Amino acid sequence: MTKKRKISLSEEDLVHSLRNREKIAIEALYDMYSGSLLGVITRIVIDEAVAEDVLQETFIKIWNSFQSYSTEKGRLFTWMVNIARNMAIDKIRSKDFKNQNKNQELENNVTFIDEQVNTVYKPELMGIKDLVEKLKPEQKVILDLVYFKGYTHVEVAEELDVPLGTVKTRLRMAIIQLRKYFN
Amino acid sequence: MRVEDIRAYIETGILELYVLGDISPEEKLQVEGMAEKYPEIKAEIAEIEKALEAYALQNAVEPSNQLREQVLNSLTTGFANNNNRT
Repeated sequence: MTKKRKISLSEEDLVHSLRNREKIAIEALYDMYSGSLLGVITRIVIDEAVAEDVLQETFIKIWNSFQSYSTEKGRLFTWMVNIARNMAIDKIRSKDFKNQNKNQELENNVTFIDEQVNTVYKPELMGIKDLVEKLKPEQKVILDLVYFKGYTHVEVAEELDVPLGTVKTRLRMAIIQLRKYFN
Repeated sequence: MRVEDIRAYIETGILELYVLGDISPEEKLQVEGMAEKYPEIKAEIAEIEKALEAYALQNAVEPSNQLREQVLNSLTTGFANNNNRT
């Protein structure tokens, strides 16, 4: 299936055009970040249709509260992914969501979602195996619980019955491995 | 703050928690103050952010095709409304 060309801007240009409320900013924002944000949201809410609703609400919030983002405080994605994660958590804790019996146990294995949804296959990510080998399982599980499932490090310590200090150390070690791999 | 102290602060893992949004508002202000004061801390935060952003991209889930138009419409409607109000 052919798709329209995706719009991509440098982060600086994107922030600039978002500040100016330009239309192209909306398209670029969606094309550049919808997949990454949906990855986080889907792992929390599980249900694909609900996840897409939350993604839409997330973009609305990003757009409407953009004046509260400041480049001084960090990268655009960091700000957006924290909004997305919070909205996903709010969703699964909301009354109507629970009433719909869609509430999946957070204890679900983190890898569960990757069997459920079609994560896009990207040939350029062939190196993924190297990363998996570098990230020790006990580090990866903690990183994924916090980053993709919205656990706090305190909740992780309780859930896995691991001391708080160990959780923090492993989280840091996991991210150091990511840095070696990506940066 | 001495170099060793900055190092020790970085090694507590608080900067990772900061980027993950998993710290109290007080700690957040503290980290932001430290980042403003010490370029090493600011640089460390930037590295953590870049790595996590790349990790999210690697774990991306593509939305269905119709969602793009739906989201763009809902935002551009707001866009039009905003313009009307001014």
